[in-house]
Amino acid sequence: MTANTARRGLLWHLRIALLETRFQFLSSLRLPAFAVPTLLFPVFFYLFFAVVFQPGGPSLVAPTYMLATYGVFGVLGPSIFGFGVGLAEERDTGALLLKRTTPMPAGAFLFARVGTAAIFGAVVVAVLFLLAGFAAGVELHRSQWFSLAGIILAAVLPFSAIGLAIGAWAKQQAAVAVVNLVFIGMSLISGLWVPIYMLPNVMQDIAIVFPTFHLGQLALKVIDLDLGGSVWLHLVLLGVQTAVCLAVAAAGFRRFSGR
Amino acid sequence: MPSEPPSPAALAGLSGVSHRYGDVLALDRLDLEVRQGEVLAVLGPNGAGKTTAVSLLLGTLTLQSGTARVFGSAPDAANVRLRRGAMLQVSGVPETLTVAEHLALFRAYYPSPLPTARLLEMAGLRELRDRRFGKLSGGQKQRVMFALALAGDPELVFLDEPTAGLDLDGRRRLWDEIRALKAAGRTAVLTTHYLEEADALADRIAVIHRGRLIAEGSPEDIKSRTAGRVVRCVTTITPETARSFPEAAGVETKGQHLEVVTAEPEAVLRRMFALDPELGDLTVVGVGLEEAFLALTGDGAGSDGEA
Amino acid sequence: MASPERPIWRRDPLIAAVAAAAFVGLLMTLPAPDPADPPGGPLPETDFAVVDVTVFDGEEFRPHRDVWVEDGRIRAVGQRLALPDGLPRVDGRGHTLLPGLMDAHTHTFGLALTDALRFGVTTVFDQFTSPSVLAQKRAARDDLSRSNEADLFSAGNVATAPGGHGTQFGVPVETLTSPGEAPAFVRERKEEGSDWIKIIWEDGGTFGADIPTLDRATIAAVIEAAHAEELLAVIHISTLEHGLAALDMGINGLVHVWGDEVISEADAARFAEAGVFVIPTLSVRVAAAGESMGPDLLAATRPEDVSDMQRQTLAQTFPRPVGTSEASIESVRRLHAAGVRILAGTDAPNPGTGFGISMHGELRLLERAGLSPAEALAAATAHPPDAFGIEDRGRLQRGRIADLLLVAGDLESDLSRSAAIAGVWKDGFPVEAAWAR
Repeated sequence: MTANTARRGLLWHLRIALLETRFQFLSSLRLPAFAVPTLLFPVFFYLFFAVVFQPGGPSLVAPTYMLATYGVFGVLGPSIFGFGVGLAEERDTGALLLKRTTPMPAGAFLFARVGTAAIFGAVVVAVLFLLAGFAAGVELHRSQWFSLAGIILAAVLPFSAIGLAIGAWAKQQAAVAVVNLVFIGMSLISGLWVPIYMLPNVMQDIAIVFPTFHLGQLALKVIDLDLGGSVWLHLVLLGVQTAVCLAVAAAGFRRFSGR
Repeated sequence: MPSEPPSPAALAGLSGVSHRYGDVLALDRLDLEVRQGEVLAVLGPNGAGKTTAVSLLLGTLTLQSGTARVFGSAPDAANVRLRRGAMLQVSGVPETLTVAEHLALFRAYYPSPLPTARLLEMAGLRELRDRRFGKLSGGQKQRVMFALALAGDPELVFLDEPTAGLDLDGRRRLWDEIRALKAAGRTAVLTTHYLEEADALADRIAVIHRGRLIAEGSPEDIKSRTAGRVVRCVTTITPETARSFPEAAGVETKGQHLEVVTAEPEAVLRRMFALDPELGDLTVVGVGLEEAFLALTGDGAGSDGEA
Repeated sequence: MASPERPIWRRDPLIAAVAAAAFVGLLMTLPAPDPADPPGGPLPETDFAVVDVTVFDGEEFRPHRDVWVEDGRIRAVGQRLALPDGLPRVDGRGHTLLPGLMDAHTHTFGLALTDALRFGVTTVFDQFTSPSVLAQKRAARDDLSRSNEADLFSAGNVATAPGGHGTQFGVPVETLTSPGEAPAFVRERKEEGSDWIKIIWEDGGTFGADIPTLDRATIAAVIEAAHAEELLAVIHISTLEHGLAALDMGINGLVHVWGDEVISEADAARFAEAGVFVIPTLSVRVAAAGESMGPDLLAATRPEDVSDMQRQTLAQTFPRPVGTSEASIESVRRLHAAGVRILAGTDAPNPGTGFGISMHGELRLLERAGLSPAEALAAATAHPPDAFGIEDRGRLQRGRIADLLLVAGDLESDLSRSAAIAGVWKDGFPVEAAWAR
């Protein structure tokens, strides 16, 4: 089977990864319980608080600020629901086990999940940005639009790690509850719904342990509306938090494969 | 344990494999060999360790002791996966994708997959190709899983309880397809707890009980050793004496009763009446699977599990 | 085996590429702000915005603000203003924008108002000039047309004794000698256009001279008469004792701080309690003590930016040292600590000072007296109009006149950057100056 070895090069991996992503995305899109809140929550919140209400008179601070925070919120949903609930579900139904018997590389599976979260995130970003730019009147430098989109989409990685950790341990039903708790709790405390400077200081102190806080601050830094923390500190803490999540996830998978 | 000499035609196998789930010993120094071009039925009651053995051959379970080889490699090696298909006992696929989409995805994993039309035909899914997996009945889902196992036109297919949940028609169709696989030179390993199914499909049957290989042979061979009757009565004849009957395949005492498994109950009864004309509470029944295993093992602990 | 099926993955890379391109394309179409020109070229006028600048609004520094000027007035100050398309924008990054400076103590003549404006001083509070000058310049205060002069508010003529301080400059001065003349004197000043009444109490004692001066009763009468005419009364004093006496007479402000001794904290608190403001004029105080900042200011400024008159007065010295700068500075520190409102003023063009340019020295002297950069700048922007009851300037706020000073650098961390002027606007018009090349 010489053809096999030729087919299993980098291109083969990429091909499978893309195809997995395509079907993962299709499958998620057809799941109203996933697609509707994921796509509509951040968009409706933004529309309501930043466009319709238009707080702040001639200042575009509010719609600009919320663009960053609801953008991060927008990728948090698909990332942790996709991994947390989706993974638990696939494990419970045995779909994950079946995939492990096939030639599908494990990397393609992870890629598809991350990719699907990124596609949903990109759709949310696209809609938010269009609303901000053409309905709320937000103007940003080209580099700021791109940086903001880049940071928001990059958030898929650390958020997926959280989802992975939950999905690796929790049963499907428990995963739904845990993910919802994490989703709402982290968003609120990290200032993704209400600007963090309006929250009690205690909550700001707690927020530092959540990746959502650091990504929110990094996104806000692009538009000079952050609390003024160091970029490197945010990145280091984010790295540590992601590493912890991955370690927790790895422990969960080891347990699952019967060692 | 009956351990065949390594055959040059061996495609896959376990040797000396033990597996433990906590305190439960699921496999106990199991040896199992799959030969090129055969349909091997792994027969055993629920809880015998069939699925554990298959999982180790699929590499979905981490080996604890012993060796597992498929195509001369580790069971989860990349080149093994390309040449092997599997249908798991408990598994599903995402419910929001259609049958055709699932097939398309699985076909893409393999270098020379079977055509979609052929897969749909084999699994009887032609009318269901655009139906979402979640909208299918249990039997239909099972057929999808069968089609997915064959998507890559594998040289070796593992079918773990493939007919569970299928109606009669579905079962017959699957049997036909498994026979067709064999005719096409493929190798299949199927687990079942129906002797009938093993007999209908297999070239060879490996019987597993309590994690051990207790018999291995052609269906005729296995049948001859199991397709008997159980003679059950209260008697003064000791088990030792009963075992000395040439017709007795297995002997066990259950409470006051003595049970003798045999292919020739009339001969056994003649001997018993000769030795103990007063024997009572006599029944002669067809052998269940459990009794068949008893007969094969010849040992006699409790009789748990279904027959 | 029928005809081979098309591989399902064939189009995936194309779809991915198209989707990615669409996303990037969308980002490219999103509205970007109109390009902002860095300061350095010609500055826009009357209708424009300075964007992403650190604003000093009269009290506090606020980073990343946009300031929108319309028809020569401030239309809005805020973060990320919704600015109309096509509005000229000045890129304020790395700069500080503040209200045009207010010199609360000058004596206007010659090119004083032009010199002041060039150094970012957009309004002067003159403490003695010819009433004719005042009459001539008064209209410009409310006129938002292009001008190359700072706006002028003034006491006009001063209340002094015949032959007293103020009479020696060649300007004809009405004098008075008794309390009874005070009401008429004040009424005349008001009719001449004086914006407040300034009183001279100077016997020359601190510099070894013997100069005629008003007696206490007359001073008290002038203060009373000014208040009767609803005018503020401020006073020139040279000693702490006179300052305290004026406080007791109900004075509104001191236009100098004394140099003879350091005020006690208790007395400083009395000034604060009475709401009396103090214009320490430390620039002239240090010059009088023989420690003029003039040479330093000249050295730090490009020669072509300094007028002959500025150069001349900055270089001048007092005949002999009077008092110590430390006593003055320490008194200001205590007054400020007690909560007395401090106003920045230079007393230009006295020896060692120059119109406009000395305000940048005065800011640093106030910093030496313990004021933070924000407090020193407040003394030079918001406080003078507040003290003299003027509401249309001194703060970067909606509706105020667009008298603006743009400085390269961050004044909050380095107040000495105040002289690194990148632009000055008067009534929304950029000031043509040597550095605007």
